[in-house]
Amino acid sequence: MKTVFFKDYSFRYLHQNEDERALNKLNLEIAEGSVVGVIGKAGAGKSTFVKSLNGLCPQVDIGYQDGDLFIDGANVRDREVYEMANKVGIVLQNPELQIFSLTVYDDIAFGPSNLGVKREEIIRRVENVVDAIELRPLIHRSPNNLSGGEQQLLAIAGILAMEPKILAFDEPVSMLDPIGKEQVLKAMFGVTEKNNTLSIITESGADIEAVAEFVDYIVVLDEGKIIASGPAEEVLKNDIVSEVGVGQPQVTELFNKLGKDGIKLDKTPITLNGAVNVLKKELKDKGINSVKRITARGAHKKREFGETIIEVKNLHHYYKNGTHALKGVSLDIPKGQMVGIIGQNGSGKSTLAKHLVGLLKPTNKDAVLKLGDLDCMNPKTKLSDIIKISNYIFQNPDEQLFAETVREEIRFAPRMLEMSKKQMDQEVQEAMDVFDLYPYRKRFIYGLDEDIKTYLAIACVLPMHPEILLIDEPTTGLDTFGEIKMMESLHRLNDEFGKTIVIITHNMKTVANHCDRAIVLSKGEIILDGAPRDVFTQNEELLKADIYPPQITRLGQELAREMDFPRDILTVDEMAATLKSVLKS
Amino acid sequence: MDIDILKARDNVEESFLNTGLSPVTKFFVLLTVLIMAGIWLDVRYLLPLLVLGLILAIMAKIPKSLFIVMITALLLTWYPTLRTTVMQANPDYYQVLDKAWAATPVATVNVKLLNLGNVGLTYGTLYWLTGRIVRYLTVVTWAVFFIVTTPMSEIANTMYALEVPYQIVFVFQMTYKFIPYMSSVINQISDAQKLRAWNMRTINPKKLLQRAIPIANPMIRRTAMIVDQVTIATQIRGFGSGTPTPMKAISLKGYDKAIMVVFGAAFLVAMVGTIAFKWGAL
Repeated sequence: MKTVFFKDYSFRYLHQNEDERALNKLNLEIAEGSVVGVIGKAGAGKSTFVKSLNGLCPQVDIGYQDGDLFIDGANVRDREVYEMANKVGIVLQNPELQIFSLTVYDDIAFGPSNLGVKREEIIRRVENVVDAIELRPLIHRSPNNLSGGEQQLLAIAGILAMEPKILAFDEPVSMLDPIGKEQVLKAMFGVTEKNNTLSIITESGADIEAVAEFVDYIVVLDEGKIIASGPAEEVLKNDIVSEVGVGQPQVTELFNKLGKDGIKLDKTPITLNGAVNVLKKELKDKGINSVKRITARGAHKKREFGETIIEVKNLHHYYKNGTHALKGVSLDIPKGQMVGIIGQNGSGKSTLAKHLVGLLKPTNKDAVLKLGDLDCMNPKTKLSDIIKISNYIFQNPDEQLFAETVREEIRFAPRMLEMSKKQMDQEVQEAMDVFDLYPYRKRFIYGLDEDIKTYLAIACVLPMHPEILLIDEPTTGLDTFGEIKMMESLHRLNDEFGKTIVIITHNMKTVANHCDRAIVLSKGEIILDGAPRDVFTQNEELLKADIYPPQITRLGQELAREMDFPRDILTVDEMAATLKSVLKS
Repeated sequence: MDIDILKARDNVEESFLNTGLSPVTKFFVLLTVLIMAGIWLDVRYLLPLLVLGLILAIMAKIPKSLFIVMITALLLTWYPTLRTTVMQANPDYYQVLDKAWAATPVATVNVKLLNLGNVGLTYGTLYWLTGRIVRYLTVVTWAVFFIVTTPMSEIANTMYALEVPYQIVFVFQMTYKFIPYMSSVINQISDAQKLRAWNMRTINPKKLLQRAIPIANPMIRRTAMIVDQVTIATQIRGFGSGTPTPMKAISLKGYDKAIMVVFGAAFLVAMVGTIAFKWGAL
């Protein structure tokens, strides 16, 4: 039975021009019991797709609708949003803004309670959901004290308690660590399977591997149009997925590369297990039981670095509520290194970063914290001195941008530093040049795309000439093209301008592909510190930080269980070169 | 201070006062105490209320650090308190106390400007000041006792059960829930701007106004975005479709009723005494 039926459906937001469409003439039927991935780069129309399902578009996010959308036979056009609430449950990206009640239990009950469901029935539903999502140990806790993953599970539980026929998830795992992502996705799809509901999940690329593990049907959106749809295995192996900027799962990309090099394999898998099975069989059939790593050209050269620019010894930090956020952290970072700091939500990454730019001070007096020649433990050292050596770009550029135009935004720091007009103009020009922002110089800030806003946020601190740049999640929200461009820009800052770059991220692919060093934090302690190649082979330690290595590394590690296979392959190119060396012969 | 209290609730040890008493009983008791403490000025009447509040706070194992916060807050108001105190030296202000005793000077000056007369410290003003301090401590002790021992979810559920309009209860819940969230957003914005050499160190009013923009502008946009997303999220959860089902009915145990009767009766007696016999007045 078709549960969702888009018939010539188009939607245009009020702020869009007449010839623009957020969704453009969609024709699509989805049956119950499916798990559908709606993929596309940022701005492709994924969120509008989800918000149309229960009439949020156009009733709350106001705009113009053409065509019809039928949910379970009912035309959404004829229903209020709250009437659709027990048919379509939507989980949004940020769990903090979807939780309203003051205990986990009450929040799960919030939805059915609003719908006027009888108390006994609400209790039954809440009891079922807390077991299904494994939230029982948390039911009396305040949602404010839960981790990001737990909050997202709670948001899902709150929707499930309304017993909708359709569950729609708008990038629900983008803010979580790798194991948090898996935990949430498993819970989501476990419930879908059990209740035979229809689940729809949107994804813009960074978590495509995690999503591909669960979906059975894919819809590809680009500029509001469906440009491909079909069974997940068919669509994800198609190059169109990469062309629209979403990117394929690493294993799919690998098999496509091998195919283009003339190595034909049984099929092109989209999941890790699928890839392991195909390769195991292929290698076994060819009698290969020992494979040596072939490093792709130019990748992961060992680089030389300068003197120590960040020196931290025995750094402790207690917050006022008693949380011991950093427990004797020690590290040295040499000048010019590109470092990735990884760890689960709440592991102390941001607390450490804030110490490295002077926003926080160690709470123990015997700590050492030096940035170049500047001793941050010296009470005379001011924040204004530190930010000229080390600076930090927060994840959400909207939390710092305020001026009218790009040029004015970059001029802010030079103006605060009372530079001369000539010097100011020169600094602004140089900062714009690094990220090719000159064409945007007169553009209104709020109309900029997310990637441009992130470049701008980094450009804004460059006039202070910090030698160290700490960047929080630089690739979040970017499609694969945006991610590549962003990392190229950071490499340029690193190579040409000699900046030491410290990235805080949940994206293991970014660390594997771009960083000289990975530092893993767990519960306020550094548990691993070394080259990504070494760090990503320490799986037991990584699990303590809720981290998995990138999918391509895990593929090598799975194959290594059965044969002599390198466990430290970091990129798709490396894996392709390695497999080509044995399969082609 | 608010946030410290909210955090304290999550960490507070359980006691009968936390989990045994109904929020309705606690609210009723709090209301009677606050009304009386608000009317009375005489330290002899206020002191028993304070002592009772302190005993309950100790029984409820309220963190001592909260009392330090309370006393610090009190000390911070020294200037307006002292200013009001020294202006109470006129013995005609006192209706119950012996006027001659109240006028006994400790340190006074006669101010002819605007015919202010005697200004400074007398027995009367010191007695008034003591009463004011005790009143402050009484109100804060009882309020902290109530807030720390009553989960906000219980208060919200009780409000639903009492058929307070659900829109009001929701606003109440959201305010409570989003105080820490908004506080972290503001801190984040302020941190981001400090890293761009932003500061408010200027006495030039025009510059001061200009320098507020880097904080105000992102904050307004972020708040608008939060409101937008919360609106969407509430609609998704069926909010507004009708009166929600209260998850808990009000259930008053025997001791709840007994406490309410005792405090209700004491309140009536106190009110009669206050109106008819000027109890608690100076």
